Amino acid sequence: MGLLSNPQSRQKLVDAVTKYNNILCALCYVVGVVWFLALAYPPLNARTYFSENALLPGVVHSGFSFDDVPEEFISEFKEELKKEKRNVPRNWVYERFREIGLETYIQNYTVKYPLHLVRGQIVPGQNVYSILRARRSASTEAVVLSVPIRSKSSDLPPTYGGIVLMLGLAKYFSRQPYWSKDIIFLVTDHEQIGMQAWLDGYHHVYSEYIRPGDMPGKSGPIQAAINLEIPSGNIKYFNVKIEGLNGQLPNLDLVNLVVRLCQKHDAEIMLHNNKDAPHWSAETVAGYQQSLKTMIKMMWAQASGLPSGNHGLFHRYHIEAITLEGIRKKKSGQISLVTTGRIIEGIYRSLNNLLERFHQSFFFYILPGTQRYVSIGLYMIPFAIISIALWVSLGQEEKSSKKSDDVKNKSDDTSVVKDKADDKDKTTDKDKATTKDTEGDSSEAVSGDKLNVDSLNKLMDEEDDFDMEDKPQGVLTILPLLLSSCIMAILCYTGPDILAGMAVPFKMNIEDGLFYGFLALFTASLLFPRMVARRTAEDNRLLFDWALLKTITLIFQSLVLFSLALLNISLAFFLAVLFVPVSVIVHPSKNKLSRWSQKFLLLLISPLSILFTAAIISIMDKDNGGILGLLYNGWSTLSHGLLLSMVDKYFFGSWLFALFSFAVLPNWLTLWGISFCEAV
Amino acid sequence: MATKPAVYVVLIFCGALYGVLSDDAFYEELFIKSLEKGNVLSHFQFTTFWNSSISDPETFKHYRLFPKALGDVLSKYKVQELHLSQTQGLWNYDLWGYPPEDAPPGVELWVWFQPQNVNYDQLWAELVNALSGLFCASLNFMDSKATTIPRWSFRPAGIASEYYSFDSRFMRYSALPKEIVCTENLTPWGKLLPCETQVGLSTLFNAVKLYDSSFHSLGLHVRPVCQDHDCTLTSVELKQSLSVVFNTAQSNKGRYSGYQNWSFRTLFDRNLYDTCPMSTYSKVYVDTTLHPPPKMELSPQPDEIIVINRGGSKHTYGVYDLKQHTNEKEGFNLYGTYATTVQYGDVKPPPLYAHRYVTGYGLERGGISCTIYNNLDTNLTVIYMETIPWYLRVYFSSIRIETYGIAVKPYKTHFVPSKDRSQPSQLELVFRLRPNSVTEISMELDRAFLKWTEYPPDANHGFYVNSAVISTMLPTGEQYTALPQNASTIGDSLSDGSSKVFLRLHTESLLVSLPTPDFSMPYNVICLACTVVAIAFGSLHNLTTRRFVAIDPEKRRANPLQKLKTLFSRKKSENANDVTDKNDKKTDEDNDDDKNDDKVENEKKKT
Repeated sequence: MGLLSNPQSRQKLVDAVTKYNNILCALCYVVGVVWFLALAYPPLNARTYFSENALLPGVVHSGFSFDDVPEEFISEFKEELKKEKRNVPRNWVYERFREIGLETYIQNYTVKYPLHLVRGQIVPGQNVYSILRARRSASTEAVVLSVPIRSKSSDLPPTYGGIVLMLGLAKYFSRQPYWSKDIIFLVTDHEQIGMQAWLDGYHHVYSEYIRPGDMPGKSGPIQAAINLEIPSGNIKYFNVKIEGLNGQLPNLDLVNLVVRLCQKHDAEIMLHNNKDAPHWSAETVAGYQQSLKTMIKMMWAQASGLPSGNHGLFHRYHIEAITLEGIRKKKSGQISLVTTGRIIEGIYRSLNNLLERFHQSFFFYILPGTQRYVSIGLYMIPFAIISIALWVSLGQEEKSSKKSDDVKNKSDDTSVVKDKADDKDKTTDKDKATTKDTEGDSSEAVSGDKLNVDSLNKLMDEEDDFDMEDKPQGVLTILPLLLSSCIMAILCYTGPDILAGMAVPFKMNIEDGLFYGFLALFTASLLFPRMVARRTAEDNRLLFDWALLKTITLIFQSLVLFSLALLNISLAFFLAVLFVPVSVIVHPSKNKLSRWSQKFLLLLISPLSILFTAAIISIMDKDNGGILGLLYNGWSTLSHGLLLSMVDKYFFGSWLFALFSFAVLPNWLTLWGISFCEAV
Repeated sequence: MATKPAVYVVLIFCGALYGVLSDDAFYEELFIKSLEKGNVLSHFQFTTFWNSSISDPETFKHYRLFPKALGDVLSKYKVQELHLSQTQGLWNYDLWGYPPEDAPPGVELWVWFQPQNVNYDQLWAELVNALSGLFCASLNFMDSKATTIPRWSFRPAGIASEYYSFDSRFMRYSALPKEIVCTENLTPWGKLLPCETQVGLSTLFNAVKLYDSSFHSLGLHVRPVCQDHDCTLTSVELKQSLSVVFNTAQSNKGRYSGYQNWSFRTLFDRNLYDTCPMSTYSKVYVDTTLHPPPKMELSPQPDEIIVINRGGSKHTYGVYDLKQHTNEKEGFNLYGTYATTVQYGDVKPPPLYAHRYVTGYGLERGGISCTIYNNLDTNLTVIYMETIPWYLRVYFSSIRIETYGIAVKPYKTHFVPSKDRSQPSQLELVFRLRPNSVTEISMELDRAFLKWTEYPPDANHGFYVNSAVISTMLPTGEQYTALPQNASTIGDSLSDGSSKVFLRLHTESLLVSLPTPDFSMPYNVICLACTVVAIAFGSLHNLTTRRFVAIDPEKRRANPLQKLKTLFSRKKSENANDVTDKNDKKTDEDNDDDKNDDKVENEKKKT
């Protein structure tokens, strides 16, 4: 705290930061990234444990068995699927549930696609759900077991197993006396859209695009949900899918519960098809690689902000949910549907024991294996170190501005204590005025870090005092750049509606219309530094107070990254890894090579290339036929993904698109602008 | 000495004579109804009449059949009417029709006091504490935060003057939806019966079976009723009832698995051997309206079959007089046997029913919505009552009644806003339901952030909201099983031919989660708080106690080593050199820290 109150020691720190600026930046970045990746190494993370004692996992004896032969049900279900090519046999499911004697309902809903997709038609859908009323309570709480129902033409693996299992479980559960929470068996249509419609209907939330119909039967608040994606029999292993919408994760206790019960029944459970590193080799290089791979895959899935299964939509409603996916191997798969049923029975018996909502364990974590976790307390430190590089590099700006200052200033430096104290009042007053002028960004900076503001104040103050003949300063010089990047952000965010509206009269495919629209927007934004260049008579060089602009950019970037890290650490980490080094490096330079290499680097981290790279990585597993094929497929995945993220925004309230439009794009644009600034 | 036995004889004779003259009467009855989807309802009712006035202080001095424990409470707190229900589970109106006695999940208590010059709130507080001990229930939680005074929904059920019954000052209503009902409540309740649970129908109370049911409700109702048609004299009626719903289709095992068959043995795990000797009559009624004989065969055959027309719908009952059946040694076991397994199909819902639920998500705001279904083809005026705890702050402006999107204007509205930590908000609405319509009442609310000591130990479980109460006069007796207002026993109700029936139904109680601090990490919180305080205190203290002094930059500051030197030299020549001392002091004032250092040094030297 001496830092705050003692101007001398503060000055020393600032001096030190200024002096070793580049090294410090590089060091922070490298240390942060290495530390973060090292967290997958078992001695650096922790073993999972149950925080919620009420769960008592695996204590009870499981007695589930099918009353009817499941194979018959499966073949009957397949027959039903064949009958209707495009529709799903929800009536069959409805009848089966009624036969069991449960309250069964059909929820109708309609989907109006945004952006003139499917020509604005309204698509109907139906969910089937059935409520088993618990005997020992007054329908005040509920748990959900859901299965997506897929038509024959669906690209996704079938879920017959899940549906048959659910029917078997419903029959078995309904005869047991011990339930104290209602169990809702839910079969959803149209994948996530159906799930969203059901959840909206259940919570009486109405959106413009998915309109849920009335739900006659309801129960109390939902405490937890398990979504099943189980093919018919011969399951080799299970995947537990945890990543939800916008990178939300379920409570770690629920994940532990599922993992523990799978282990109890000797069923192998994995994360993203990745095995856990075995105990004996966990601390070897191979073991570390295995853990790191799992961790990166998990982070990749979380960073996408897309739910990895239907469970992902529950999280927003404060319902802990996961998807249990069974991977079928016809020959080597040993796990039968009965065993799967017993696992699920065990999970529900444990959930039934819950007295309170899941609240004990972690909500923010990264998993390098099913039994090890990295908590928020562990990963925030290396992340903070990476981002600190941004703040440290603020010192660089100070240095560069100082260099150009008068020598006299330097000699005064040590003796002007009194002047400084007087000046301080003046400058803060002045700056209050100027910061108000600029943007929300710089006013945020005031609260963000006093250190930076002070250096910024001084910087501006000094510039006021020593008027340079050629060097432009002040907020006014950077205002055009800031404004135009904001305009670009708004254009990008509101673009889809306009572009989709344009595509219709041109008889263009909506997807293409959007994609090329965005390409055009991006190209336009590439040229914007040229447009805002000062058009004076003698030259059209782009001149502005780049140091101030960069300061604002860096502060804005660090604020965005930090707040993002609290919500979706994976996305924040990947963005930080890409953006931090480039943002630190970028500065106007007289050297042509340095200028062009900066521009090249900036292009590499432009939103378009980030998305393109992400698209390529996501399809890397599949066979694409050579590099050209990969690139081509990546391109089409990108255009498709762009459309999907837009649709997600409208349907589910995903904020990925908003984040890219309002944070990543303007931030990148200002950096791009700086790289065009003429060095003086 | 010889006169002593004679005295006893006289005393016993007098006692017997008094008993005959006092006109106490006791009836025990069991009503069995097969419901849809494999459920069977058993409703026990024990009615005690006491032919004396409840307001007469002399009444509660000599007891015969009426329980003294309860009588003392009634007389002490001058209770006119008392209605208590203790329920586990939720009555499923859609499937089961109307219950013989409607009760919300948990405990509900409403009381009418006799007019007197006292503070009724105080009286109520004392009464609930007394009853709490009597019934082993946490009725003492029915404090001002949970108690309301409904204006229209709860009128006196017994005889009362018009002036009295429209003055809700005399009444209090409260419910505890969280209360769990179990054997510990059954035992004290059973002890109030004249035969306790030793002989008679009450021997069927097998707690293991009763609490392994889908629905279970204990009721106790005291009210003044007319002694005869002219109503010149009143008597006190105590009605104790126990309703229980079993799903026999699912609990039957082996050969009868899936059949709705029931018998005393399968339901209660015992036969009936005797009847309470105090009882005037002891009867079993089997409602065969829903499942008439070819579908369900009764064995033995009923002594009498009664068909009545109640509110325009036909009801059939098979009646057994237990006094005749329980002479056998092996006991009486009544069977209801079905020819086929249960077919699960559509069930005709009752004419009026409702569902209530929490709407919205998140911990900041939310809503409560109640959907009322009117399946009748006539208009129906209903009274809707809602009690909402203070920590859910209801926006009065957001209360809406809509039938298919068309706003319904209530005839009357009674809204008492909540007061933080002292009073719940209370809403009563009187409005009309359109024929064959679905009406929705919705309101929005804010969730309050409680003080940290106000959270219960299971803070993350959520907070309960009372059931809403809907009262109306139904023009049809379809699926109606409750007793009419003027009847006391089930036997009386069989001669009821009224065209309209009074219906009161309770909706679901709700569970709402409030924003909850993370109680599981007090250690972390303490650590964090301490750190913050330490940091803030240190720097603030430093900033506020430091003196800022302007110094002359020309004057070089003495470095510590020099200072130390001057200090030593000063020590040596302390008396001799005053002038240098003053100079030193001046320089010392330049920096507080240094001065302090000096002081420390001085002190060290002194010691």
